[in-house]
Amino acid sequence: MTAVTIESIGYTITVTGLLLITIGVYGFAATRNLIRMLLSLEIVFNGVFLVILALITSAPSYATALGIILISVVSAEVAVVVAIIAAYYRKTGVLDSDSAENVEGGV
Amino acid sequence: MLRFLLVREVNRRLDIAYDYLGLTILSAFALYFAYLTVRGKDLVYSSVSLALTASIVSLIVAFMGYHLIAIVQLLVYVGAAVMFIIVSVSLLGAKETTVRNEYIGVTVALFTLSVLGLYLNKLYTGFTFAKVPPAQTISDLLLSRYMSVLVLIIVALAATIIEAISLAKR
Repeated sequence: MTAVTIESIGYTITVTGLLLITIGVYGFAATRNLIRMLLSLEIVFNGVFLVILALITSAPSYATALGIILISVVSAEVAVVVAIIAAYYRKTGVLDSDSAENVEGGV
Repeated sequence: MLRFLLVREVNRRLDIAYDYLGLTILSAFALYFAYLTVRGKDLVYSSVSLALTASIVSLIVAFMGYHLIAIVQLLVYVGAAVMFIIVSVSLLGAKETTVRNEYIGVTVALFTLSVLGLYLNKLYTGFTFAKVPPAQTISDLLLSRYMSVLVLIIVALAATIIEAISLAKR
Protein backbone atom coordinates (compact mmCIF):
# COMPACT_ATOMS: atom_id res chain seq x y z
CA MET A 1 0.00 0.00 0.00
CA THR A 2 1.37 3.42 -1.00
CA ALA A 3 1.62 6.00 1.77
CA VAL A 4 -0.26 9.26 1.33
CA THR A 5 2.16 12.18 1.00
CA ILE A 6 1.84 15.92 0.45
CA GLU A 7 2.67 15.22 -3.20
CA SER A 8 -0.50 13.12 -3.54
CA ILE A 9 -2.50 16.07 -2.20
CA GLY A 10 -0.90 18.36 -4.82
CA TYR A 11 -1.63 15.86 -7.59
CA THR A 12 -5.26 15.47 -6.46
CA ILE A 13 -5.83 19.24 -6.54
CA THR A 14 -4.20 19.58 -9.98
CA VAL A 15 -6.15 16.62 -11.41
CA THR A 16 -9.40 18.02 -9.96
CA GLY A 17 -8.69 21.35 -11.69
CA LEU A 18 -7.87 19.56 -14.93
CA LEU A 19 -11.11 17.54 -14.80
CA LEU A 20 -13.12 20.70 -14.06
CA ILE A 21 -11.57 22.31 -17.14
CA THR A 22 -12.45 19.23 -19.21
CA ILE A 23 -16.07 19.19 -18.01
CA GLY A 24 -16.39 22.91 -18.76
CA VAL A 25 -14.90 22.55 -22.24
CA TYR A 26 -17.27 19.63 -22.94
CA GLY A 27 -20.27 21.73 -21.86
CA PHE A 28 -19.14 24.70 -23.93
CA ALA A 29 -18.60 22.64 -27.08
CA ALA A 30 -21.68 20.41 -26.79
CA THR A 31 -24.39 23.04 -26.43
CA ARG A 32 -25.52 26.15 -28.31
CA ASN A 33 -27.50 27.63 -25.41
CA LEU A 34 -25.89 30.93 -24.39
CA ILE A 35 -26.60 30.62 -20.65
CA ARG A 36 -25.29 27.05 -20.62
CA MET A 37 -22.15 28.21 -22.46
CA LEU A 38 -21.58 30.92 -19.84
CA LEU A 39 -22.03 28.40 -17.00
CA SER A 40 -19.55 26.04 -18.70
CA LEU A 41 -17.01 28.87 -19.01
CA GLU A 42 -17.37 29.55 -15.29
CA ILE A 43 -16.60 25.87 -14.61
CA VAL A 44 -13.46 26.28 -16.75
CA PHE A 45 -12.51 29.35 -14.70
CA ASN A 46 -12.84 27.41 -11.44
CA GLY A 47 -10.62 24.65 -12.85
CA VAL A 48 -7.97 27.08 -14.09
CA PHE A 49 -8.07 28.86 -10.72
CA LEU A 50 -7.36 25.62 -8.84
CA VAL A 51 -4.53 24.61 -11.20
CA ILE A 52 -2.85 28.04 -11.02
CA LEU A 53 -3.00 28.16 -7.21
CA ALA A 54 -1.67 24.57 -6.96
CA LEU A 55 1.24 25.38 -9.28
CA ILE A 56 2.45 28.53 -7.48
CA THR A 57 2.39 27.53 -3.83
CA SER A 58 6.03 28.58 -3.54
CA ALA A 59 5.08 32.28 -3.87
CA PRO A 60 1.96 32.61 -1.70
CA SER A 61 1.85 36.44 -1.47
CA TYR A 62 1.84 36.87 -5.22
CA ALA A 63 -0.60 33.98 -5.63
CA THR A 64 -3.01 35.72 -3.24
CA ALA A 65 -2.74 39.04 -5.09
CA LEU A 66 -3.20 37.25 -8.44
CA GLY A 67 -6.20 35.32 -7.09
CA ILE A 68 -7.97 38.47 -5.91
CA ILE A 69 -7.34 40.19 -9.26
CA LEU A 70 -8.59 37.11 -11.18
CA ILE A 71 -11.82 36.92 -9.16
CA SER A 72 -12.52 40.64 -9.70
CA VAL A 73 -11.99 40.40 -13.47
CA VAL A 74 -14.17 37.28 -13.82
CA SER A 75 -16.97 38.86 -11.77
CA ALA A 76 -16.93 41.88 -14.10
CA GLU A 77 -17.00 39.59 -17.13
CA VAL A 78 -20.02 37.70 -15.75
CA ALA A 79 -22.00 40.93 -15.28
CA VAL A 80 -21.37 42.09 -18.85
CA VAL A 81 -22.07 38.70 -20.48
CA VAL A 82 -25.33 38.19 -18.54
CA ALA A 83 -26.49 41.70 -19.52
CA ILE A 84 -25.71 40.98 -23.20
CA ILE A 85 -27.56 37.63 -23.05
CA ALA A 86 -30.59 39.29 -21.38
CA ALA A 87 -30.72 41.98 -24.09
CA TYR A 88 -30.35 39.33 -26.81
CA TYR A 89 -33.12 37.18 -25.33
CA ARG A 90 -35.44 40.20 -25.10
CA LYS A 91 -34.85 40.95 -28.77
CA THR A 92 -35.05 37.45 -30.25
CA GLY A 93 -36.95 35.33 -27.71
CA VAL A 94 -34.41 32.52 -27.98
CA LEU A 95 -31.09 31.72 -26.32
CA ASP A 96 -29.57 29.85 -29.26
CA SER A 97 -26.16 31.11 -30.37
CA ASP A 98 -26.73 29.77 -33.91
CA SER A 99 -29.50 32.29 -34.53
CA ALA A 100 -27.32 35.24 -33.40
CA GLU A 101 -26.08 35.90 -36.93
CA ASN A 102 -29.66 36.52 -38.12
CA VAL A 103 -30.24 39.39 -35.68
CA GLU A 104 -30.44 42.69 -37.56
CA GLY A 105 -28.92 45.85 -36.10
CA GLY A 106 -27.11 44.00 -33.32
CA VAL A 107 -28.23 43.48 -29.76
CA MET B 1 13.18 9.40 22.54
CA LEU B 2 12.83 6.92 19.68
CA ARG B 3 9.27 6.17 20.72
CA PHE B 4 8.45 9.87 20.83
CA LEU B 5 9.79 10.36 17.29
CA LEU B 6 7.88 7.31 16.07
CA VAL B 7 4.60 8.56 17.57
CA ARG B 8 5.18 12.01 16.06
CA GLU B 9 5.81 10.51 12.61
CA VAL B 10 2.70 8.33 12.84
CA ASN B 11 0.60 11.34 13.88
CA ARG B 12 2.01 13.39 11.00
CA ARG B 13 1.15 10.66 8.49
CA LEU B 14 -2.33 10.27 9.97
CA ASP B 15 -2.88 14.03 9.62
CA ILE B 16 -1.88 13.88 5.95
CA ALA B 17 -4.13 10.83 5.41
CA TYR B 18 -7.13 12.65 6.96
CA ASP B 19 -6.36 15.76 4.88
CA TYR B 20 -6.18 13.60 1.76
CA LEU B 21 -9.49 11.89 2.56
CA GLY B 22 -11.23 15.24 3.10
CA LEU B 23 -9.75 16.65 -0.08
CA THR B 24 -10.85 13.60 -2.10
CA ILE B 25 -14.43 13.95 -0.85
CA LEU B 26 -14.45 17.69 -1.65
CA SER B 27 -13.02 17.04 -5.12
CA ALA B 28 -15.63 14.36 -5.84
CA PHE B 29 -18.44 16.76 -4.85
CA ALA B 30 -16.93 19.58 -6.93
CA LEU B 31 -16.78 17.33 -10.01
CA TYR B 32 -20.32 16.03 -9.42
CA PHE B 33 -21.80 19.54 -9.16
CA ALA B 34 -19.75 20.65 -12.19
CA TYR B 35 -21.30 17.77 -14.14
CA LEU B 36 -24.77 18.86 -12.95
CA THR B 37 -24.01 22.42 -14.08
CA VAL B 38 -23.20 21.22 -17.58
CA ARG B 39 -25.83 18.49 -17.92
CA GLY B 40 -28.68 19.70 -15.67
CA LYS B 41 -32.13 19.83 -17.28
CA ASP B 42 -33.14 23.21 -15.92
CA LEU B 43 -31.02 26.35 -16.31
CA VAL B 44 -31.85 27.65 -12.82
CA TYR B 45 -30.79 24.40 -11.15
CA SER B 46 -27.63 24.38 -13.27
CA SER B 47 -26.83 27.89 -12.02
CA VAL B 48 -27.36 26.75 -8.42
CA SER B 49 -25.01 23.81 -9.13
CA LEU B 50 -22.41 26.33 -10.33
CA ALA B 51 -22.75 28.18 -7.01
CA LEU B 52 -22.19 24.91 -5.14
CA THR B 53 -19.17 24.03 -7.34
CA ALA B 54 -17.61 27.44 -6.73
CA SER B 55 -18.26 27.14 -2.97
CA ILE B 56 -16.53 23.75 -2.85
CA VAL B 57 -13.63 25.10 -4.94
CA SER B 58 -13.26 27.92 -2.39
CA LEU B 59 -13.13 25.27 0.37
CA ILE B 60 -10.33 23.48 -1.52
CA VAL B 61 -8.53 26.83 -1.90
CA ALA B 62 -8.82 27.39 1.87
CA PHE B 63 -7.54 23.86 2.41
CA MET B 64 -4.45 24.74 0.37
CA GLY B 65 -3.72 27.59 2.78
CA TYR B 66 -5.08 30.56 0.80
CA HIS B 67 -7.71 31.63 3.32
CA LEU B 68 -7.97 35.21 2.06
CA ILE B 69 -8.64 34.11 -1.53
CA ALA B 70 -11.26 31.63 -0.31
CA ILE B 71 -13.10 34.41 1.55
CA VAL B 72 -12.93 36.74 -1.49
CA GLN B 73 -14.16 33.97 -3.77
CA LEU B 74 -17.11 33.20 -1.49
CA LEU B 75 -18.06 36.85 -1.00
CA VAL B 76 -17.39 38.32 -4.44
CA TYR B 77 -17.62 35.42 -6.87
CA VAL B 78 -20.30 33.19 -5.32
CA GLY B 79 -22.09 35.91 -3.39
CA ALA B 80 -22.25 38.45 -6.19
CA ALA B 81 -21.36 37.09 -9.64
CA VAL B 82 -22.96 33.64 -9.48
CA MET B 83 -25.98 35.00 -7.59
CA PHE B 84 -26.35 37.57 -10.37
CA ILE B 85 -26.47 34.70 -12.89
CA ILE B 86 -29.08 32.80 -10.81
CA VAL B 87 -31.33 35.86 -10.40
CA SER B 88 -31.01 36.81 -14.08
CA VAL B 89 -31.79 33.30 -15.32
CA SER B 90 -34.76 33.05 -12.94
CA LEU B 91 -36.16 36.41 -14.09
CA LEU B 92 -35.62 35.65 -17.79
CA GLY B 93 -37.57 32.40 -17.43
CA ALA B 94 -36.02 31.05 -20.60
CA LYS B 95 -36.26 27.35 -21.38
CA GLU B 96 -33.50 25.36 -23.02
CA THR B 97 -34.58 24.20 -26.46
CA THR B 98 -31.28 23.53 -28.21
CA VAL B 99 -30.08 20.00 -28.96
CA ARG B 100 -26.69 18.93 -27.63
CA ASN B 101 -23.95 17.83 -29.96
CA GLU B 102 -22.36 15.14 -27.81
CA TYR B 103 -19.86 14.06 -30.47
CA ILE B 104 -18.22 17.50 -30.78
CA GLY B 105 -18.31 18.01 -27.00
CA VAL B 106 -16.60 14.74 -26.14
CA THR B 107 -13.99 15.14 -28.92
CA VAL B 108 -13.01 18.67 -27.87
CA ALA B 109 -12.99 17.70 -24.16
CA LEU B 110 -10.74 14.68 -24.75
CA PHE B 111 -8.38 16.77 -26.87
CA THR B 112 -8.20 19.45 -24.14
CA LEU B 113 -7.64 16.84 -21.44
CA SER B 114 -4.77 15.17 -23.31
CA VAL B 115 -3.00 18.43 -24.28
CA LEU B 116 -3.40 20.08 -20.85
CA GLY B 117 -2.48 16.82 -19.08
CA LEU B 118 0.80 16.58 -20.96
CA TYR B 119 1.55 20.27 -20.43
CA LEU B 120 0.73 20.24 -16.71
CA ASN B 121 2.82 17.12 -16.25
CA LYS B 122 5.82 19.16 -17.39
CA LEU B 123 4.87 22.27 -15.39
CA TYR B 124 4.18 20.51 -12.09
CA THR B 125 7.23 20.80 -9.85
CA GLY B 126 5.90 20.04 -6.39
CA PHE B 127 3.35 21.05 -3.80
CA THR B 128 3.50 22.51 -0.32
CA PHE B 129 0.75 23.98 1.81
CA ALA B 130 0.88 27.73 1.20
CA LYS B 131 2.06 29.75 4.18
CA VAL B 132 0.22 32.94 3.37
CA PRO B 133 1.35 36.02 5.30
CA PRO B 134 -1.28 37.98 7.27
CA ALA B 135 -3.89 40.08 5.48
CA GLN B 136 -1.97 43.26 6.40
CA THR B 137 0.99 42.16 4.24
CA ILE B 138 -1.28 41.28 1.32
CA SER B 139 -3.10 44.61 1.51
CA ASP B 140 0.27 46.43 1.70
CA LEU B 141 1.37 44.52 -1.43
CA LEU B 142 -1.87 45.43 -3.23
CA LEU B 143 -1.60 49.09 -2.20
CA SER B 144 2.07 49.46 -3.16
CA ARG B 145 3.37 47.14 -5.85
CA TYR B 146 -0.01 46.31 -7.43
CA MET B 147 -1.56 49.77 -6.96
CA SER B 148 -1.81 50.40 -10.72
CA VAL B 149 -3.50 47.03 -11.26
CA LEU B 150 -5.90 47.75 -8.40
CA VAL B 151 -6.85 51.13 -9.89
CA LEU B 152 -7.38 49.49 -13.30
CA ILE B 153 -9.66 46.87 -11.71
CA ILE B 154 -11.68 49.53 -9.88
CA VAL B 155 -12.14 51.52 -13.11
CA ALA B 156 -13.00 48.33 -15.05
CA LEU B 157 -15.57 47.26 -12.45
CA ALA B 158 -17.17 50.71 -12.42
CA ALA B 159 -17.33 50.68 -16.25
CA THR B 160 -18.79 47.17 -16.09
CA ILE B 161 -21.59 48.24 -13.78
CA ILE B 162 -22.50 51.18 -16.05
CA GLU B 163 -22.28 48.99 -19.16
CA ALA B 164 -24.40 46.21 -17.65
CA ILE B 165 -27.08 48.68 -16.48
CA SER B 166 -27.25 50.41 -19.88
CA LEU B 167 -27.44 47.06 -21.72
CA ALA B 168 -30.15 45.74 -19.43
CA LYS B 169 -32.23 48.96 -19.71
CA ARG B 170 -32.20 48.94 -23.52
